Amino acid sequence: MGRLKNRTPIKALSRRTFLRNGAIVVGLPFLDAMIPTYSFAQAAAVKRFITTLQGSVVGKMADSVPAALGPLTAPLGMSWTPLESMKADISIVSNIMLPVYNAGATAPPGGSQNGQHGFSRGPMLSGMTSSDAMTIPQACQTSNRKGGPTSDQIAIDIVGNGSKFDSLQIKCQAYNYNGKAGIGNNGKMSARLVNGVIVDRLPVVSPLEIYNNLFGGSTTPPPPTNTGATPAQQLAMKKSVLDAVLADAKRLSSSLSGEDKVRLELHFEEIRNLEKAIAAGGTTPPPPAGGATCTKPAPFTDPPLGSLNFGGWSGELVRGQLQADLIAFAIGCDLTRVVSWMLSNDQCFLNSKMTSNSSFVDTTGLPDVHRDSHFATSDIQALNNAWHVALWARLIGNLKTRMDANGPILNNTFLSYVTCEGHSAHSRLFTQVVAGMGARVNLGQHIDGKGVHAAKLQIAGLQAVGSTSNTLGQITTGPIAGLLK
Amino acid sequence: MKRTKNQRRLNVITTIAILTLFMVPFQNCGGKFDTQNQGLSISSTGGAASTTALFEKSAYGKSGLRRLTAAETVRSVGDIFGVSAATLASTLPNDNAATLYFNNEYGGQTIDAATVTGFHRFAEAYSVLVSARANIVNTLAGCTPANPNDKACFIQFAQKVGRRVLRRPVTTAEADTYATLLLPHAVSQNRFLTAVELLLQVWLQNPEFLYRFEFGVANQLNPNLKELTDYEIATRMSFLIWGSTPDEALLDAAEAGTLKDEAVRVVQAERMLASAKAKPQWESFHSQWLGYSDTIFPTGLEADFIGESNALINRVVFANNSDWLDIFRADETYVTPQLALHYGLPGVAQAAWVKYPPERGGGMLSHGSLVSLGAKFGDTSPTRRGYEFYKRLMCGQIPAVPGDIDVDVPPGLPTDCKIKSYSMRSISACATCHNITDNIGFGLENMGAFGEWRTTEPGKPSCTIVNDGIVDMVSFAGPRELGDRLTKNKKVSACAVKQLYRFFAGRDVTPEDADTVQALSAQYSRTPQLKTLITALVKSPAIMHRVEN
Repeated sequence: MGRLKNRTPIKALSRRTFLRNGAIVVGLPFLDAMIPTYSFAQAAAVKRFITTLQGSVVGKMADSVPAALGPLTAPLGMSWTPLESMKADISIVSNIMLPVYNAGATAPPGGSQNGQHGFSRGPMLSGMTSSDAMTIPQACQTSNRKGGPTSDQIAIDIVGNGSKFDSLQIKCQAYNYNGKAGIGNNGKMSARLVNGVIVDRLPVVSPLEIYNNLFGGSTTPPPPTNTGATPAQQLAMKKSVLDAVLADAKRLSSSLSGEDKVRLELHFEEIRNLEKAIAAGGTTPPPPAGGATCTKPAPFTDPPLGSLNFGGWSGELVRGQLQADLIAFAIGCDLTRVVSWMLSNDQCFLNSKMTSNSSFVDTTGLPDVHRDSHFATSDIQALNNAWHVALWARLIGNLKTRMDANGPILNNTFLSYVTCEGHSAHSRLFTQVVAGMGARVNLGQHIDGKGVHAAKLQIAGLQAVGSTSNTLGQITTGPIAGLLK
Repeated sequence: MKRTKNQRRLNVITTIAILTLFMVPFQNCGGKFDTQNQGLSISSTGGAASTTALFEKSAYGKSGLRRLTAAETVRSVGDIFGVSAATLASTLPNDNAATLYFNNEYGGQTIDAATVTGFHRFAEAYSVLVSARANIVNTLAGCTPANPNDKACFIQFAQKVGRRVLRRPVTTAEADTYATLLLPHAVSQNRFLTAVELLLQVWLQNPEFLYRFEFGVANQLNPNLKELTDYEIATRMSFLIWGSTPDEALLDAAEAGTLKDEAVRVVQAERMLASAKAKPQWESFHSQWLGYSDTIFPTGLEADFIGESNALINRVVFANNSDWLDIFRADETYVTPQLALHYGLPGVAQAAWVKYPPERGGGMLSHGSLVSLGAKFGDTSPTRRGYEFYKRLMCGQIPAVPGDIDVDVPPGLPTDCKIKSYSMRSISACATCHNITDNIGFGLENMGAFGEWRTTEPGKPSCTIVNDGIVDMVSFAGPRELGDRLTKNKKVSACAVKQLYRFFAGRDVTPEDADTVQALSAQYSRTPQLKTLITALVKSPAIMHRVEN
């Protein structure tokens, strides 16, 4: 942080310019634009739970929060600008924290190990100390996993697992952009408990794959044969195939024990989910309770994948916007009620020229968000944050304009915007935002978290959608005071 | 910046003194060699530990259920059906090396919607590719369907081909079940191949194809220890040597119940290693062990870099069957005209073996594939290169970077020469580990991020490079000398054996594996060829046993 004098000169960029360039415009969702009408209403007021994670906060987002506590009347700072028109639908919770401990020392409940990036997500989302939670890189082997599930996976049992998919895991940042392929340890945010074993639920980065999973179809060309088969015949064939696979899996499962059995049962469960998806594929999904209609969104193409290297870019703006729209469709059609959406990795090497629309590069010539967090001006850092927040704002907007039987879907959805602050050695104070569930959540407020554990925000969210528990992992003291009505 | 030989010697002496001084903190910081598998004290019959004794003490590490990697899936279906699936590989889930270097590690294999959906799409698309082949049923099963409802031919197909797919016999009852379920679709479409396509889709999503189940038979003395069936042994052998499903000959041996006989296994292993199918598997092993399987190479040279390394691996391992570690001391390399230009070697008209000039050599230690491990901040990082070499070639362990150190910020000032900017060796809190890593890296600085030869640092003509390295307290200059030092170092051969075992087991070596790994090390000291080592592994009782996780 002490090398500012070595930086390349920075091109000045006004917020207005950036806004005009469209990076954070909340516009008409792509998918809505592609279909003539969209109407859906659901009689039963189902509740939903959506967790969104900005893995790499650039600069302190607290700097962009109005100083005054209470009603959000003053303008929001640059990091939160995309939420300016939605202040009545959100509340900002500042001054929440994670207790930090050094490696080898006794960890406090929900503690975050002092170290490199990646030690915050687990404690915030599961309430477990980072050595037991899902995100500690050294503990990624399934056989060694301890700890507890993340809030989204707990929410499944609270909001009811009556939809096609118990939950969706989605990620906007397509690669780590550190030269390596794959999701990587810093690209996960969801874990569930299966027969006593904590198992990652890995996200999907391709909007097209999400679309196909939700609404059927295939990313591979349709088979050239059996084209004479009617849709009903094709569905029957697929059903026969998966029935046979499930029968084999069931037979094998009875012969297994221990970890082998857990692994096979996971596979088994995913096949069942696939079968459900296929049952809905290619046709209009069956109407949800209340007999309302649900329209399948129009197809689209995926943004192209870019280089794996530092400062890479795979069309994350369009990718994220499509994902925000697909989440809204999935929620609106009751294809799922729980979503975890990771916007960027914990330590994010996404191309910062694209996210901040600046020409800033440091002496290494590599423009990425992480590097901006060390070297760029606070304005550029805030623009990086705003890029992320705009995607979340788009999702809020989508849920606000879609209707349940009793009003906007947003009214029945708890959303949290979870932020990580880089190295554990840095400040452990966080600012996070919630939205929706207006009947239960005090909205339009700036709430002082008074230094309590960040997992208490997730406890509040779980209570907002129906939980009666005051516990998440090792945090047992209930929700953040003043957040719930 | 140039230093004399005397200065270099002084540096060596100083470093030895520092390392001695810091021996205690060295242990504290965790930097160490894994000594577990270096023992070569085993006698010349060291591999002959009695099977009974091994049974009694369950002398095998625990293993979990392994899934086929994408590469194994593609190779398997290609071998079974004779139709390449390479174009469909991208539909399969990525395989990540979780904690070791190999993507076949079961601990890193996730099971989620993306995985299952990926295999589903692959199965659908591949079944169509297969059914499009003329006379595919006759080719694979030896019958020609008389009509869409030809049950006899379908059952023949299910049993003959199913044995390869499921790596066990398919009973008539199972085949009949498939026929009952799938032939009606063939009738409705008036097309026998519809049932074949659907059967392929069932198989390729079947957990028995996707996972390597090892039920075995519980040992009477130790129920946790499973003695594998012949088919399960065949599967282990085949995925070790070929990274693919067993062929008919191996399955025949399994069916005959002969694979518990080590002599039969050796014959089979030698046959399999002589097959062209072995080469891609061992190219992949080296690319993962040495860390270049996912490297992003300069545009236009990707195939050249990989081709260079594969050529050397194949020459050492298969063509010459020479000492495995010759891959680190070869004085010739296989370059294309473009690669020769990149390295600054004498030009060649077409791809050819060329002799290294005296300052280079060391086989793969001069390859852009391997030395690219040191790339960072747009150039080389002596720390990173040294760290990668230390852990991959010597199985050395370096503790995690302290929490208050940001490894993503370039050290020093941009105008500094590296000898100044990488000054961590002179900082007491850092010296212990950086003396290990940086001393290796600074011995290879004449090679740029992808092996291009240079004498000064990029953009800094005043920063003259001196290849001034120390590895395991012995000085060296450049890749040739490093290769010489490494191949004489028992830690390196022990580490290579350990990597082989990890690759075989799909997990790390555990204390229970020590007997097997030590026996393999002893084998290497007698006959240092990789093929011999693989055969020894197949011959060992470890191939026949599993302790369930």
